[in-house]
Amino acid sequence: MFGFLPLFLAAYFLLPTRGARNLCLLAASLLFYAWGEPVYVLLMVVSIVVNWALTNRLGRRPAHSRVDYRRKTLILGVVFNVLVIGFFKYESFVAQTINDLLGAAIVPDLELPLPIGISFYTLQALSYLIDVYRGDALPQRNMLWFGMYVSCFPQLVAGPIVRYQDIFEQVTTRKETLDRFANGVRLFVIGLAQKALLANVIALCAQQMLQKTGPNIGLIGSWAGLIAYTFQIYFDFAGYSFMAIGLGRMLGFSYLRNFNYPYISKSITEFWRRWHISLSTFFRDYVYIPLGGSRCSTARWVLNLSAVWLLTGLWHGAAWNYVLWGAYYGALLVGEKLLWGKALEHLPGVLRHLYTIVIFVCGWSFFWITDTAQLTLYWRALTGGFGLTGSSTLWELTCWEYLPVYVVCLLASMPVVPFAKYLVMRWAQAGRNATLAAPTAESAAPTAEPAAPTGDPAAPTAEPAATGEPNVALSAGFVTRSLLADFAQASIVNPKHIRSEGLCEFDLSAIKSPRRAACAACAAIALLSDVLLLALFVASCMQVVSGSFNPFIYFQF
Amino acid sequence: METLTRTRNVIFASLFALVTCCVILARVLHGIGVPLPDWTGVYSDRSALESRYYTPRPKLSAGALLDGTFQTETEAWTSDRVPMRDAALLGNAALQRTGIALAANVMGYDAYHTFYGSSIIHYTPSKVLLREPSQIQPTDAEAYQKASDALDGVAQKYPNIRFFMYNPPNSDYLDDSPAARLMTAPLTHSFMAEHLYASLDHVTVINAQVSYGEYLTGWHHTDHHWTVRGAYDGYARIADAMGFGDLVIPAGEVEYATYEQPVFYGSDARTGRCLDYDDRIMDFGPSFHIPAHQALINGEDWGDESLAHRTKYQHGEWSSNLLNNRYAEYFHGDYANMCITSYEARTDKTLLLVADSYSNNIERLFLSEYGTVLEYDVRYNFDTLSTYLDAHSEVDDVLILMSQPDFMNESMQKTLA
Repeated sequence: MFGFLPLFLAAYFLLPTRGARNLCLLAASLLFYAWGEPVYVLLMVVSIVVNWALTNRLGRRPAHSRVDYRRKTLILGVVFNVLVIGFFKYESFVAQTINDLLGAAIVPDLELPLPIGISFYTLQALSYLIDVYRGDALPQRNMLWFGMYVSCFPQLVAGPIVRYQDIFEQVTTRKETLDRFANGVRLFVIGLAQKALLANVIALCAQQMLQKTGPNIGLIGSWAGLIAYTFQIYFDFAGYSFMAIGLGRMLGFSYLRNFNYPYISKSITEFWRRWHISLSTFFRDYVYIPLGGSRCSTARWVLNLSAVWLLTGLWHGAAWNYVLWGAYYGALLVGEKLLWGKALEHLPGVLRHLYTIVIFVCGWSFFWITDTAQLTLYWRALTGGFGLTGSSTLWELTCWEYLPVYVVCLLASMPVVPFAKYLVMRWAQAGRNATLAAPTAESAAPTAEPAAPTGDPAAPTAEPAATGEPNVALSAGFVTRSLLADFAQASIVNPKHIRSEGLCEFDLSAIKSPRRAACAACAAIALLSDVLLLALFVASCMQVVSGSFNPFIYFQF
Repeated sequence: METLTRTRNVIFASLFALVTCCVILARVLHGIGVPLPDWTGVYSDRSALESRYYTPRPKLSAGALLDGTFQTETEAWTSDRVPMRDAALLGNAALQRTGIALAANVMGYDAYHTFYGSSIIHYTPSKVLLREPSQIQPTDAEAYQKASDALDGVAQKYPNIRFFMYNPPNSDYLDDSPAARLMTAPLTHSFMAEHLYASLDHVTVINAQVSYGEYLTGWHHTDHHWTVRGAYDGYARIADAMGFGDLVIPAGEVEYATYEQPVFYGSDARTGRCLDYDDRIMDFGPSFHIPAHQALINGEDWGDESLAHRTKYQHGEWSSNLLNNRYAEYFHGDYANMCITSYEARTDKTLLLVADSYSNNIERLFLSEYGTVLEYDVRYNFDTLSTYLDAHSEVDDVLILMSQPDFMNESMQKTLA
C-alpha cells in the first residue's frame, strides 16, 4: 500500500494511451503475483497463453459451426484448467484420502504448495472459455489484453471472479475520470477498514477461543469464538472484494459487487444470492444450469444441486471439512425447496432471519475447524458440554473485551449507511414532509441502481400528508416500516442487485431539491462522510503498520 | 453542486495519495537532504517503542527472490519506514484500548488488556501496568525441574562455593496480583517455588516473594524492574541470608532521590503501547554511600559512573526520545560479563552474580562486603556456568539473581548447567 500502489498508480496515470496503460496494468499484475509467487507466476503465464490460444481457436469458428471441433476445443480447455487446479490444489488431498483408505502409501503425496489465487484465476479463465464457446463473448485477439484480464491484480488473489463478458468493452474503452477515481478510493478505504479494523481484530478473538479449545472456554467462549469467526470471514472476504472493486474503479473498471449484506438474509436461498455472488453465479451458470438446473425431475434436481455444492465445498479447500460444509448447505437448500420452504415464508421476518443466522453461524464451524476431534470438542462446548466458561474464568476468556467490536461488526453487516443515505436523499429531494408521505415510485431513492423486481412485499400505503402539515395520525412504527419497505424495494438491499455503481457514492448533482438549505445540508453530510472515511483510512493504516494479526485466509484459495 | 462534488473528490483523492505516498515522500526528502522534524522518525534507525533496530535495506539476489526473503525484508523495510511509525502503533493501541475500556466498564472489571492481543494489563485502581500471568501448562513443572536439576548439579560440582538464589518477581508472578486473582490457574511464584525450589539441595533459596502492596512500593509502575527501593529491600533479605546483614541500613533510614525528569515509560508501557502511566528514575540519595569501585564491562573500563550515570542526569543529559529505556540509560544496559572491583570492601571475597537486568541497580550494594563482584548474564553467554566457574576459581559465593520467567527457557537451562 505504501510502495507498490502509489508507484503503480503514478505510472498508470502518467501513461497517455489505453494500450500503454493496459500494458502497465499487465506488468504490474505479473509483478504483484510474482512478488508472492516467484515460481508459480510461470504457471499463471502458461495458463494465460494456453487459454488464450484455445479461445482463439474457438473464435475462428462461429458459435453455430461444426460442433465437434469447437466442442473438442472446449473439452480440451476445460480439462486443462481442471487439471491445473486439480493437480496443484487437490493432489495431496486425493493422495492422502486414497492412502488412508488403502492403509498404505500407494499414491505419492507431493505436498505441493498451493499457488496463491489459483482458484480464482482458473475459474476466470474457465468462464471466459465457456462464454466464448457459447457465443456470449468474443475472443480477445490480443494475448496481452487477455493476460491483463486474467492476472489483473485488484481481484487476482481474492476475487471477485470477474466474467469477461462483464468487462470486455472496458478492456479497450474504459474511461478513467476523477470522480470514478475518487469513488474507487472511497470503496477501497471501506474495504480496507473492513479488513484491517474489523476482520483482523475480531479474528484475534476467534483465534484465541480456538487455541484454548472447547473444554477451556465453555458455552460463552465457544459461541463468542464462532460468532467472531462469522464476522471475521465476512469482513475479510467482503473487505477484499470492496478493495478490488475500488481499485478497479480507480482504473476505470466496473466490477460487479460480490457481497450484498448476506447476514440480513431471511433464508439460505437468499443467503447464497448475497454471499460471494461471483462464485455462486459461476457455479449456477457453468455447472448447475448445464446439468439441467431445476428443469428436470426432482431426483435429478437433487443430484444437480449436490454436484454444485460438492464442488463449492471443494473449491473452498482441499479437505473433508469443506466437503462437509458444502454438503451441509446442499442439504439445507434441498430442504428449503422441498420441505419447509413454504412454511418458512409464512413465518414473521424476525424468525426467518433468526433461522438463517443460526444456520450460517453453525455452518461456519465446519469451515473453520479442520480437525475432526477439535470440531467435536468445540461442538460440545457450543452445546454446554463444558459449562458456561469451561475451565476459565469469564475475565480470562477475554471475549468480553471485544464487545464494542462485535457491536460495530453487527452494524457494519447491515445496510445502515445505505439506509441513512437513502433517508437523506429522500428528505432532500421531496421536501419537509417527505418522511411522512406515502412511499411512491417518485419518492424512491435517486441512486444509480435500478429497482429490482423482487424483494419484500410492497410497503403499506398511507394517505398523502396535507401540504406543509405533518400527518400526526401516522405512528412512528408505521413510518419506519414504510421507509424500510420502500428502501428494501428501491435500493441496494435488494438481493438480486449486484451492480456496484452507486456504492459509496453520494452524488450531490442528483439532488434536485429547490430548498437551498437541503442542498447545503447534503453537501455538509457528504463532506462529513469524506472526513470520516479519511479518518477510517488513517486508522486502517495505523492498524496495518502495527503489524497486528493478519490472517490472510486466501492462501487456501 | 457539481463544482462542490469535484472539489470534494480532488481533496479526497489528494489526501489519499498523500497518505499512500508517505514512505516514498519521506525517503525522497531524506535522500535530497531536506531536514525533517525528529518526531517524524524518518532519520531514526531504531524504534525505542519496540526496542529494536529497523530492518536494514534488503539485498537483492536471485536466491532471495526465489525463496521470498527479499520480499519479506522489503515489506518489513517499508513498514519500518512509515513516518511516525511509533506514533501509529501507539495511536492504534489507544484506539483499541478505548473500546476495551468501555467493555471493561460494562462488565465491571478494573483490569483489561492495553490492546487486542496484548499481554499487558491496564489496572486503573493502582495506576499500574501489569503483565498477564501465563496459565499453567502441563510441561511447566518439567521445565522447572530441568532448571532445578541443572542448577543443583552445578552447585554439587563446586562444594567450596556457596550457592544462593534470589528470584525477584515480575508482576505476572505475584500470587496476589489483580490479574492472577481473575484467573483459574495462573503461573505464579507459588507454583515456581513448588517445582523449582523443591529439589535444590545444594542451593540456598532466599525468599523473594512479595505481596502486591510491596510490589507497588518497590517496583516501577510501567516497567518490570524494581526501583532501588525494591532492590534495597531485596538486598536486605539477601545480605541477611548470606551472612552480612549487619551492613544493612534499616529501611526507614535509607535515603532515596527521585529525578522528576525525564519521564520514564518502562518496558510494560512500551510492550503494552500504553502511555497512560509513567515512572521516574529513583536512585539512592547523596548521603547514601556507595563504595568506590572500578567496573570493567566485557573487559573494558567504561569510566566513572558506568554503573549509574548520576552526573549526566543531574546535568540533564538524557535522550530526547520520550520512549527511551531510562532504566538502562541511567544504570546500564545488559552485558555478558562484568567485573567490579571495590576499593572499600570489608573482605576480599569474590561474588559471582548470575544475573539478568535485575542486577543493574543492586550490584553496587554488594561492594561493601565483596572485594570483587563478577557478573555473568546467562542470556548473552555461550559458555555454561560450569565453564565460567572453572575459569574463575577465585569465586567464593554465587548468587543467582534472576527473575522467574528466565528459568523456563530451554537454552537458559543448558547454559545454567
